[in-house]
Amino acid sequence: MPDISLQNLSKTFGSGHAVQDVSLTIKDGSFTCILGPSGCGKTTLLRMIAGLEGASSGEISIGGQLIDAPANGTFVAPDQRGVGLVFQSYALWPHMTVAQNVEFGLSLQRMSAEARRERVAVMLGTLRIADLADRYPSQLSGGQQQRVALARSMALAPKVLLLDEPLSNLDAALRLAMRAELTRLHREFGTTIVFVTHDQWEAMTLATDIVVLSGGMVQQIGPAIDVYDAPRTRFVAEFIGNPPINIFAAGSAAAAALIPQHMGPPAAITVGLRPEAVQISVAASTGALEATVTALIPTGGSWIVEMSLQDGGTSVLHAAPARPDFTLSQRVFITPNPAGLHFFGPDGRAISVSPRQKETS
Amino acid sequence: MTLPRGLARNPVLGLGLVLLIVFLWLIALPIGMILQDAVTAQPGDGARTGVADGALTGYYLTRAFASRMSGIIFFAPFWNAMLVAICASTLALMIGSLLAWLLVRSDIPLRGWLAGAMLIPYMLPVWTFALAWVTLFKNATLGGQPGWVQAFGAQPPDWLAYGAVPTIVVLTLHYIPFAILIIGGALQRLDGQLEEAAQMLGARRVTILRRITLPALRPAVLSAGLLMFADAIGEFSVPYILGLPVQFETLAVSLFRAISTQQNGMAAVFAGAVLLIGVVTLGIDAWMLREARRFTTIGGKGAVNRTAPLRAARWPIFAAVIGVFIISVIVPLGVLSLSTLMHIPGRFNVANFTLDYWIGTDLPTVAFQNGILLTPEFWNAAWNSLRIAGMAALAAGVLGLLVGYVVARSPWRWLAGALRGITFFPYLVPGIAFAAAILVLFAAPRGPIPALYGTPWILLLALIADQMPFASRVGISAMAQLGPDIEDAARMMGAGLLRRLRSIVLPILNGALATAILLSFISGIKGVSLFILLAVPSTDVLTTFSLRLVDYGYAQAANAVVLVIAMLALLGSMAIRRVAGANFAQGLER
Repeated sequence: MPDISLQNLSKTFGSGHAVQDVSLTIKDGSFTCILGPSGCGKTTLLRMIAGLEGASSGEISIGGQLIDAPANGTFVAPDQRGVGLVFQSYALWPHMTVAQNVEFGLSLQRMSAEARRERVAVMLGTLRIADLADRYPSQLSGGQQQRVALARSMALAPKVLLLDEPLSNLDAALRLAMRAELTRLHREFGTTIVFVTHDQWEAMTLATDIVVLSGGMVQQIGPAIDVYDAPRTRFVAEFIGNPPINIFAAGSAAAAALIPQHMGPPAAITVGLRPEAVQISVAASTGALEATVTALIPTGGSWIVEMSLQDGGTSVLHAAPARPDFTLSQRVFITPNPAGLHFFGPDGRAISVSPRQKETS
Repeated sequence: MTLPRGLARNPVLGLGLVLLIVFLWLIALPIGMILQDAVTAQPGDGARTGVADGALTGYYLTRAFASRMSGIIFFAPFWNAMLVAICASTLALMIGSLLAWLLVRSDIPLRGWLAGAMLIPYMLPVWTFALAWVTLFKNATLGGQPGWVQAFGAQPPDWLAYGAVPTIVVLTLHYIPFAILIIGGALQRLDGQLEEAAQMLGARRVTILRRITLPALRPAVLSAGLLMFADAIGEFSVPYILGLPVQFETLAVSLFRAISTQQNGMAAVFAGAVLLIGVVTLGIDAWMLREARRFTTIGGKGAVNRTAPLRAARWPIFAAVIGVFIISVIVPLGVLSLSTLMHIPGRFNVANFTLDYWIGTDLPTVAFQNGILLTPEFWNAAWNSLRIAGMAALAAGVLGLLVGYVVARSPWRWLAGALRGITFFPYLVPGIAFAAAILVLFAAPRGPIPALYGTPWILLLALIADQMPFASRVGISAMAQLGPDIEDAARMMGAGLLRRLRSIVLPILNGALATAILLSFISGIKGVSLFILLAVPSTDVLTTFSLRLVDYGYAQAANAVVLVIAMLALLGSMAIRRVAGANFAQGLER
């Protein structure tokens, strides 16, 4: 089984760590996303799997075969790994037509001209770009270019397909189309797909599994929805979610009000509350946080209500599915839906005593 | 990363090391050797230096700087070179700035056409103007056929015919386009909104010019001035043609004379002096550019450039600009062309006109009794020019691209820095000093390399090294635009270094490569100071052949050869304009 396994993988450039002691397994046939802010080491990780960068220490193996292990000098060349890579820039060769771009890798494999032509036709058909065969990359739209880049990588029938920010260069409509396309290719070919992105929407909508990376270190691994529902660190909670999670600083009155009695002294606990778990009422109730509506922001299909807490002026966001029934400067009262409450210790790690987490764990 | 693992996995490093060794041998070694010659007793100088051949001696330095002869030997040529360089670059800067502003920011008629036409003088070999000047103003001081002014009955004084004045005028005419290019380019990049912002605050036009525009252009103006100065210090051909009749010598000419009289030690001192001035000047330039970068903001795309109306002065100014064009292009080329068609210079009657100097036979001269097009030496020189300049340009272009490749892709930053530095170094060294250095290296057999003096190889190698600054810059900037992804995509499929260079890099960068090759080719065709020391009659190229004709007094034949060179250079430059388009201005800087 071509599981991809990374063991204590590190990469240093000069004195800085790009990737630090990463261990994880990417399951055969999965559609895994490596998610993180820019500079978190995700592209370096992808390039190490591809073989474009060598690891500084640790091991990478695919399907049980060791492909990079600096400790014993193992390094398998990129083309011997059964891995395809689609670049963020697509990296199409501008002086070759679409068909020539797809054919280049095949000719390096010393495939006969006949077989090459056949394979190119099949790939262009699969990616639905057969009519573009004789065009040059500069004559193609972004979406078409990406299909060519995909066809070029997939022509060599890789066991693993690596994608660098696959949707980030596309406009909104194309993103949806390409998303469907990638899902279809994943289903049809059963290829293991690993992609990196900084875009949580891209991650949530495409991936079966998400690896959250920050500062070169793995923050959390798991199915997409688990990462959202049960963030293991404050970083993950803040990085994933749009609009972003509301944070109440440790020691603030609001945080104290939101922390359940049984959790002990609240002074060191930071509280996070998902915007969709913010419940707003015009009537006061015990334990509710008093706030003033400061902005009503339409985002197309839904609305964001921005409020400012009476106590200390902390800004709180609420995501509403329909036009909210408030006016600016109106006084409101906020209560949390416990499912969207998260608690973090001083080290940034989640304290798993929220009612929901108790249920799931 | 351990070394063997790095080298094994990254052939770029191997390529880079090979290139570094080649350039150390071709550039650093000869320059080091000539500097060493300045403090080493040369063969046959034992009686003067008082030490054995090859021993350390301060004789040459003392003779040049601190002897009774220093004034004549070193300081007179030094001050002459300074005078010429300072005057020519200052004048070119003043006229060039004005023209640049007119061409970029005013509503002068035929602006587009003028912008191209005003650059023509820079495409011509600089001594075209010198020969035209001699043809016009030659007086009785020099024997042989009369100048045109003389033929009309006037006797031009020596100061007008030879020496500092004509040298300065000729170099000024040659440098004006260079100043236009650099300052005009800066003016074009200067965002008009900077000026409009001042206008919004109530600044008057004069205030804006003085407080905003000029300070913003200062780095470009100073840089242009320094580059022209450095070039003028090492200029050989113009002072050689115009200065010798009145013993007006500059350092470059002294260097040439020292070499041709076998004073190798003194030649090394002159070469070192010229080299030092070049290094200092361009060092100042590099330092100032770095300083300037601190407050430079590149204007946004589509920077607004309004043109200033010249109003009533529009046509008079246009006439003046056309005047400059006539003086710097039409007159020199016209005079040279006509001179090759006349038996006796300056006599405009029908019987005096002839095609003999081009295609005639049995001319009443001692040698060269046939027209130039029927002379085997001419065709030999032309063939040498074409093959030497052609092969050198090809080699320099490819090497430049490889240097660019290593600079862009080497994981070892010191290797990238070393290659960039060493390939740029010949830029600091005037052609004639570099030629002297090459001569030192290749005059005798060294190791496996036989003595190359007297063969075309020495010209070829010198030209390649001399073209490297430009060729490597083209390669580096072209490679900088070629992101690594496009190659990594091929690497993923198993394409090795050679395959990637052949199938990916070269086809994509062929435009840049063509530009580099063509520009090097033109510069090789019209270059003279690099070749004058290295060519012997059998390896003459067109430029050295024409200077030999000048020396022997065959004015018509010499002018005809120069015209051929000028036409080749002009056609080549136009071809580059076709190929390179916008890169043209940048390309002309060398």
